[in-house]
Amino acid sequence: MSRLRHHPTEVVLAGYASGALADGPSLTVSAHLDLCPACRSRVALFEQVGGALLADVEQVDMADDALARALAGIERPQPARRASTPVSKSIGGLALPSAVARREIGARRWVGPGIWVAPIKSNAADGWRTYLMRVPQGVAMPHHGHHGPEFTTVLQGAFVDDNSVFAAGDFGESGEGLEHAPSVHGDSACICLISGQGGIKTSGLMSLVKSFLRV
Amino acid sequence: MPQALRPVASASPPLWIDPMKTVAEFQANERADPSAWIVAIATKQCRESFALLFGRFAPRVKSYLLKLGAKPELAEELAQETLLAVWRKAAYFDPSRASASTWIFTIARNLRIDAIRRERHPDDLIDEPELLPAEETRPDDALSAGEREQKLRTALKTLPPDQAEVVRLSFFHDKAHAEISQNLGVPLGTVKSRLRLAMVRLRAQLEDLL
Repeated sequence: MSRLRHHPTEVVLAGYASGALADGPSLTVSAHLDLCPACRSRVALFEQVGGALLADVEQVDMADDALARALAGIERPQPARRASTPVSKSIGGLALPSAVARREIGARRWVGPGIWVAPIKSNAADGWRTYLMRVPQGVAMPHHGHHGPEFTTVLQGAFVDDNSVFAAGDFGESGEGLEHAPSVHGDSACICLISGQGGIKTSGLMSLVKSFLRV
Repeated sequence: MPQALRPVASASPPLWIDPMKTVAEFQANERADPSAWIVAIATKQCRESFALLFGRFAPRVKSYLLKLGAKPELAEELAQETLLAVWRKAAYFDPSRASASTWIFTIARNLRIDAIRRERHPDDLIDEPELLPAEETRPDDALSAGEREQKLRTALKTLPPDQAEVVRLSFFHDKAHAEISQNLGVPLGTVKSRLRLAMVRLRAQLEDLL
């Protein structure tokens, strides 16, 4: 595999490791980590920091009967759990990263020639919209802006944004107010996992995407 | 320490623990290595080790969850669930790869994420953590996971105060970094660079110590 060029910032990885990052963005980070040993190691260091902070945090008293409850709890048979066998799922010929494959994925919706979006079930209440999007080779997205943050992990193919190539595994983060017009790079279609908050401001094709996703 | 509370190294039948013992009684022995307790749970279903582990970690997990804004009842409940998960998953714990507190931290974190998800989607039965498991320490590390954690705890205490604060806030406040920057009264870019510098420094210290 070619070397990845675009990684999450320390702030994003810290949010992932601490559990503070919202569900949709965490999925995009998971998809990047699947392909990036360097960032897995950075996350591991953050988790070790979490462990060290936990070891040194001041203690808060548990209820008087807490230990008795726990000791009773371990004697109970283990509750039935949904099997956690690895799920494999593909969409448009692409094998999805494991964290994404475990999610409920909505039907693909046609947006334009060769273009589709498929929403991923997430915590709608937190304001993030998370979806897969395919754009065929040679297509440039119309110029559009963002009302809020957006995280993208490329799953297949590549796109160019502001003269930078984002290939499979690369992670992009755009902030509120960013305006850009990414275009598909190379000779295959590009499929991305995108999670955004605040919506897109645009017209034309992107407003179709917008109406399908209600972003 | 009363006889009954001594860590038991080789009890073959499960030990009976007096359920009237309170957590405080098991908080003794601060210097013992909790990894050994988890291993004893995995290999011998050792109740005594579980009680020691509960005494060591339940009050810390509760504290951590309270800092993240959980209500006291939920923090208590999730601390319970965390330690029960430790009992059930003890066989998956590998002391050469993760320290006890890092492993327990990731379990508590994942249970909290699941609790938030269940709150929003009560029908959603996903209860397997979806985050990747804690990355193992590299096999070429000369330090054991426990030693590595000791070094890290020391290194954290020697960070410049402004970096230490950003690291602490990243874990103990359920806030986006934009809010952290507002709270500290510094630009977001400063928060980002402090965090980056802190991690570079921690990593360098861990590696220098090899």
